Amino acid sequence: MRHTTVCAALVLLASTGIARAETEVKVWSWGSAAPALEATLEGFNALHPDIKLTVDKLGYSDVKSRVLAACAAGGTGLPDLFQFQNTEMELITAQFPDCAADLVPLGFDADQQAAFPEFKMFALRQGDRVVGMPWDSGPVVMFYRRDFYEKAGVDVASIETWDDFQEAGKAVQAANPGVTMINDNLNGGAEFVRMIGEEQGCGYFSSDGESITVSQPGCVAALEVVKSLKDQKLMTAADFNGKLQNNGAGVVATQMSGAWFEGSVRNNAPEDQHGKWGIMAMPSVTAGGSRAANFGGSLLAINNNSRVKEAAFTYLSYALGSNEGQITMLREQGLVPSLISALDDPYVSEPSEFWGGQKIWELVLGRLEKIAPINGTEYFSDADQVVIANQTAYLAGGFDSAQAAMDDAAKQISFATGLPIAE
Amino acid sequence: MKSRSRTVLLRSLALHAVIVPLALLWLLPIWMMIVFASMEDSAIFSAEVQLWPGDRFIENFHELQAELDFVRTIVVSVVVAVIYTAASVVLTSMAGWALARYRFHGRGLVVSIILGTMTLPYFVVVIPQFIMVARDFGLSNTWIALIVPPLFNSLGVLFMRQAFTMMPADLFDAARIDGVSEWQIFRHVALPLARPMLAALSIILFLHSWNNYLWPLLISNDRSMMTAPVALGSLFGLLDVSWGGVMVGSVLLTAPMLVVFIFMQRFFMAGITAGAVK
Amino acid sequence: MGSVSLEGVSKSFGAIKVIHGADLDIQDGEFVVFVGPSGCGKSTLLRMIAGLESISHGSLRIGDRLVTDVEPGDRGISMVFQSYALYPHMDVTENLSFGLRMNGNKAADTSERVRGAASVLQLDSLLARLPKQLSGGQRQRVAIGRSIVRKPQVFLFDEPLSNLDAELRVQMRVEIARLHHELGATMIYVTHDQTEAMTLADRIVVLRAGHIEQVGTPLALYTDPDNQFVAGFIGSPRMNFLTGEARGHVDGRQAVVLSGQGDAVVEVALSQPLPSGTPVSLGLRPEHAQVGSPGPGTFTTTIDVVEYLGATSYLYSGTTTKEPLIVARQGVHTDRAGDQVVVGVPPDKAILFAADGTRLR
Repeated sequence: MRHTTVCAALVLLASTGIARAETEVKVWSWGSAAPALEATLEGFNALHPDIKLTVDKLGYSDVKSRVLAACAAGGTGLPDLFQFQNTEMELITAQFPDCAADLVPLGFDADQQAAFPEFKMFALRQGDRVVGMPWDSGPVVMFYRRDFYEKAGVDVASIETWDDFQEAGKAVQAANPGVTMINDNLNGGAEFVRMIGEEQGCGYFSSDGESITVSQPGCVAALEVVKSLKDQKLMTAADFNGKLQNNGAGVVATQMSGAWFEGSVRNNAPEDQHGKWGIMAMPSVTAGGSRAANFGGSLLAINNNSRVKEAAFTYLSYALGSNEGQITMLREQGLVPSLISALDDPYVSEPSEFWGGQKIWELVLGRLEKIAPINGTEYFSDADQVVIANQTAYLAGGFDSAQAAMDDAAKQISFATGLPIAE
Repeated sequence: MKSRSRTVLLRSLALHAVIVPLALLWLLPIWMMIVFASMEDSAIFSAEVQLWPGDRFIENFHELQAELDFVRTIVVSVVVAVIYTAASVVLTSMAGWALARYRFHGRGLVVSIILGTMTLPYFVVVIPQFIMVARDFGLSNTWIALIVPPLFNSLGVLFMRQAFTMMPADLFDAARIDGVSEWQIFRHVALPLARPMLAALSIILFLHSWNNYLWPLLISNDRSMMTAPVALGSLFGLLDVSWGGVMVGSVLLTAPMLVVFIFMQRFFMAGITAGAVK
Repeated sequence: MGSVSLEGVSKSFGAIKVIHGADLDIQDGEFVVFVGPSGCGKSTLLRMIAGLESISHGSLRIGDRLVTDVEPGDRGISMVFQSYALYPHMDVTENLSFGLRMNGNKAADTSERVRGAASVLQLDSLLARLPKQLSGGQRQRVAIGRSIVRKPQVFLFDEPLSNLDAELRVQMRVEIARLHHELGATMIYVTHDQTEAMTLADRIVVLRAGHIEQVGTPLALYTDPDNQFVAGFIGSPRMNFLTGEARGHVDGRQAVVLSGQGDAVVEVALSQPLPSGTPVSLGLRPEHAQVGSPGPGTFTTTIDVVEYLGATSYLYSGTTTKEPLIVARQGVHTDRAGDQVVVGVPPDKAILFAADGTRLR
């Protein structure tokens, strides 16, 4: 039945092909997101054969530079669609409010918006306008070595808080000589502070973006966890590449990251590690906490000057706004959907062989609705630099307490941004 | 006499004991680039550090070529760099000549302004330049946009001005008395004498164009007009990087420059230090 | 044809005037030398004639053409520079022919002229060499050769010999004199070396601070200088200047009391009498001072230093006073430092200058 309609549509199109010009939609994207978009085309063009999508794969920072330059030039040279990081979207909305199109008049109504979790929509709202559609997300989970944990007799179901995790860590390290429990970027970034703090509902700025909340208890507790992990020698420093290297060498038992890290773990693992990895929810600082946070994730925005906004939106609705599009990208390139309903797709409940038969996507997507929205604001990267510096100083004994380190960070951020520190 | 040659020998040994490790330290990244260019990506993350090239160079290259049409981007880079270098050498030496050898109202001001532009970071200039070229002139994705805007090179103008200022004025006066036109003096007396400086400047300008990233990134986003470094840049995702391709591309971009530099080193140093000894 | 005429030519750099209204007529075929201390403007004046410096006021004619605003290459002149100014990247042939080639001169004529110049200057065997492969004298000859091939009406030389050693300088000086004789062209030659000026010049132009002080034949300048500056500049060793005071004037002779030399009285020919008591300066060339026995018009002085040059000895006295004195004594003598000598002032040879340096006749 469906087959025949498609055929009929094709015949219809073929007959009217000369009259109906093909609409071309161009998109800038980076990394594995670009081939993910290409993977959706087969399904999309079956429905909309008249819209042709051209994907330009660029480097991540190249997209960022080009988009900002093009926005500064009033949209000159900007493609119809472009990818941007959620946390960085404020750069555009604050400086070039007219650069990204409002999707509401194109059909992104309240119902469609409600299909995405609030933590993703948050940064895209500009008053009544919505300047992009959520794409992938990064629910924070723990990637752990089943064999190491089992050897120490640790049951992951018993790990609920960071205290539990540290107890487990001591056992794992005792049972597996030469293995470290977990890696964090430490000197190069404050990822753990951000993730653990967000789990506690604490970001660098308040949700309205009007005050600085980095010295609030949730964030302070996060820094304390990091310090404790390091002091107990349960954590060593490693950046993205270092983590993969440690994974490959089998010297680390756990990695905590956004779920998009799944593909990297899987693709870089040696043959003998297949089936030995597992995924669990991140621990909470407090018993009964949400155990959910987000790290990373991007969106697609429409160029406000594009002449094919409708066609671009049509594509967004399919690729990002439908289970079919989102699941295709998850399957082909490991892009974690932001769409809540994706959890219902049969693919999500398929067990994964590499992960020891675990239904990992069920676990990952199950976190989506629990994630608290955090306001990055346009000052995010400035604030991050301050927190990284103070984290380094605190770990080296430069501050008496985590509270002191964060109070000082709040003062510096306040000085740089002119925003008040929240009471 | 004997003891003196021994102290010389000892001194040279001590010097080499410092220089050789430093040189190796400098060479190590280049060597590792070659090593990684010939390996699978996972080798970079493998536990043991590889120090000897593998056998995947050709395969990595084929992958790079398939994904980016890398050879074409190199052709674009070469064409841009060659035309840019030739045109910029001509323009900067003419400007340098005028500023060095002709007295006119506002000459000091012009030199100060040119000097002043050197203190401006390129990032301050690039956005207005982009707006002008891309939006106002509509020249995105054209050879002109790639080559012309960076042509005016303050460093080159001041470098050539210095070169011409240092030449004895009598030479040009002698030619003037001989009834030689100003253009002929520039072409047949000044330029031949500036040859070492022109060679050094050419290398600087060529490298400037060859390594230029931000401007071609912004102004040419069409695949067919992409320069090689920009094409390589597209291999860098947020965290995921195609290391094999990046390394192969880097080898291909670096090797010709290294060869040219090694062969022209003498020339280059002569030109750079010309002002110091005269 | 090759005459040069300057009329009220002056030059200013902004508010600073470096040449003050120079008037000068140079005949066709004449060899004129500009001399003066450094900074007197002689080189500037030469470069203004060449067209390398603009003329602020006044007019310049070469031959019968007004060339005040004509390009250097069209003035019919050529110039030899102190630095030779040879093109380092061209061999001798190319250096000689460069100007002609650039102006589209016929190749056959060019090589003919180059050959001619080369043979006049004995450069034949050096034609394929680069300037850096030539000695100083050879470079200077190439520079002169480059002037010759232009067949100019006027040759300009800007201190052409000052980079050469003493021996070569004498040699080249003779060569330039020979060249002038052979070519018969007008030559204007700048130097600070008065020996060059005396030996080469038909006429000498003495400049000081942008003013032409005097123009005349070498002999005229030597015997009959217009002022104290010219008198002091021309002649070596320098003319002695003795302070004096006018007294009586009898039969066209002015009595002068030399207050610095024991009030010796000298009577010098002078048409106009000076009021008694007028301060004057008495000029006496070392070679005119006579060592002899006491008498009228003589004074005694003590020798500080003696220089024996063979045929001549120079006796220096009063070297530490305001009034040093040099006496050139012909023949072989045995004067020593510390000896007392009696110096006579021949009244015919002495000349008088007013306090402001102007000549009193």
